[in-house]
Amino acid sequence: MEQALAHRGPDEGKIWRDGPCGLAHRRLRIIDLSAAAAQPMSNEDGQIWVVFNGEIYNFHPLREELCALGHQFKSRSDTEVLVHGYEAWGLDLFRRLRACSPLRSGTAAPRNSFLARDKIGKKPLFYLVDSERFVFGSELPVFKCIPISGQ
Amino acid sequence: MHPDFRPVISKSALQQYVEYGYVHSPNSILERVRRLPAGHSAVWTRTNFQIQSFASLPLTLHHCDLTAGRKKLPPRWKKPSERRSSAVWKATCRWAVF
Repeated sequence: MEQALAHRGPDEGKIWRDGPCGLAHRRLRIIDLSAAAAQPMSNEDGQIWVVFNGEIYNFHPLREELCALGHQFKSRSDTEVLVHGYEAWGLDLFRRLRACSPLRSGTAAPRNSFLARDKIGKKPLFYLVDSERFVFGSELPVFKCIPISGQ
Repeated sequence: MHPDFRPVISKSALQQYVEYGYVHSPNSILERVRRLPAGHSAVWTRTNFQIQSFASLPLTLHHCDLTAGRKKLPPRWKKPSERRSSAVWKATCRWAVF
């Protein structure tokens, strides 16, 4: 599935797996070129994971706010604001972002997962839900990698 | 590609594509695959899947303060009852005809 998106992120590719859950990401490095900013990215204790496509324009003030709340940042990337922001504010985080960004996050502990897409829909975000699975991706070719039928 | 990948084209999405040249959210061209609408978040758990809006653009009349702009508009855009004089009204009609 990661290879299906390789053309979108030539710099790096990573997969995170935990039991039945997994996140795959291809990276085009723009902010913080180091490996510390690679995705999927987690919080301090690895309970919350995120993959993100886009850019957060106001991540500097949010980062300062989260540092003041005691969150430890490992990188200088905008993505990390999402994991710590979700810890601090939950889904209210999205109201605070100025971003072009679909993002998907899995939280490992209670085994739930959420997606969000930017306010004007600049970036696409596709998903499939049925009784057994929840699959999402930033492009349709992602779904070539799973068994799927029209029924 | 997965050997059991058997895509079915969504009829309603195809209709949209022919009509508008685009497939609108929440449809996608593949049956069963959906697209998350802009400004929405979705929460998935084993037993539940819920989509909700967290932001919307002020595109509806409800959100716009139309009275603020109306005061500044030129006379020809006013309602007949609000027009100052018949001369302006006649000039406006002439302008409108030509």
